[in-house]
Amino acid sequence: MSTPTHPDEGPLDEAVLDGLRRRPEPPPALEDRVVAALAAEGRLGSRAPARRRWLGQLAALAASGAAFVLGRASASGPPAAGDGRARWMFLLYEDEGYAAPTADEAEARVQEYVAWARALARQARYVDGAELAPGAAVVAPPGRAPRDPRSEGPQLAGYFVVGATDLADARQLAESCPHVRYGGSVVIRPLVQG
Amino acid sequence: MSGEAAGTRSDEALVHATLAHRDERAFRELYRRHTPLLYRMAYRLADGDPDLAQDAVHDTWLRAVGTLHGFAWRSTLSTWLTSILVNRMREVWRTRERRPTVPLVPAHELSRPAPLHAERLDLERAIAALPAGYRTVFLLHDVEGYSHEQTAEMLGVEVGTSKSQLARARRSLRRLLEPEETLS
Repeated sequence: MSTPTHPDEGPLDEAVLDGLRRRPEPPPALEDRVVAALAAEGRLGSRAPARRRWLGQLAALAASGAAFVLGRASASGPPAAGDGRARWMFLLYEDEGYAAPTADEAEARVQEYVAWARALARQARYVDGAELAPGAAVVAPPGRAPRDPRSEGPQLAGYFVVGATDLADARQLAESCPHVRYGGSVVIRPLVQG
Repeated sequence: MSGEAAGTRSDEALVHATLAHRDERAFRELYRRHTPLLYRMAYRLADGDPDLAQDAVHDTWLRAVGTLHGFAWRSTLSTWLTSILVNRMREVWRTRERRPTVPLVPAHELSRPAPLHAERLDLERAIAALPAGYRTVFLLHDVEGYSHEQTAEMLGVEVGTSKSQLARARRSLRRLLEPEETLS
């Protein structure tokens, strides 16, 4: 701290300075703008962008091997689980407790998820799955401020659609998913049968 | 400056999560911790132009995250971020030739009464009327609480320069804030 050589060179009234420390506040929209720019540069997104992660290979699984195993794939719609099982959606969430893979671990993590899905496919119980990519847009009705659901709570990271006879069966499948072993949570929702 | 509450993750932990895992939530926590100060600084260095202030904060974070790997933690993260912002504003001043628009009080006139504007300036306008160097030191030291050593490091000047510019800034502000009737 300097020693003022003149009374006019001493600090201003603290109450006045304190007022300056409280305003102006940054516009809320600036945060999403910065995050979106960093995601576009591949610097955010909890993902190693150059390496596919756990659900990255599942689209191919659903389109080829799984569909073949299921035997009920049709060109006009998504494959259905075999043996008349109901379909269930597994919503995979991550929060601070999820042990995200490092870049070196990413490929092995992918293979664990794929192996789990392949095992379901062999039982004709795998329907679909995908990992959510970083970035999002929110569309709100006119007059209502868009609210990004990702701004708080666990983050939705991906999904599976599987065949299971009932909730207990679906729960058993979910508990075997690698996602749970790595600290993620799985929300099980039944799909309305067409 | 970074004011961590109990139970919150440290800046280092958040930086690690951001870099190692591209963890958006960790970054948002960092952003919310440090952006209020950055925005206040940017807004006042930008003469109260909110668009320019937002651009400066945006660019600061992009530059910071892009170079965080090289940050050695010899200073606080807040100090480092603020220095990036100030340098960004200096670039803006250079490229746009933005200068304070309110006439300044020349240093040699500070020792005697100077007739200023008939209209009394409020504090924000008075700060905006300071030369860029005075203004930056005043904001860093008196408003945001950085030491002269930190201020000097951020600005790349000697500690003595920071002290002398602060003294002049305070004196200028007092003159700019004097009630009208005492000026003539």
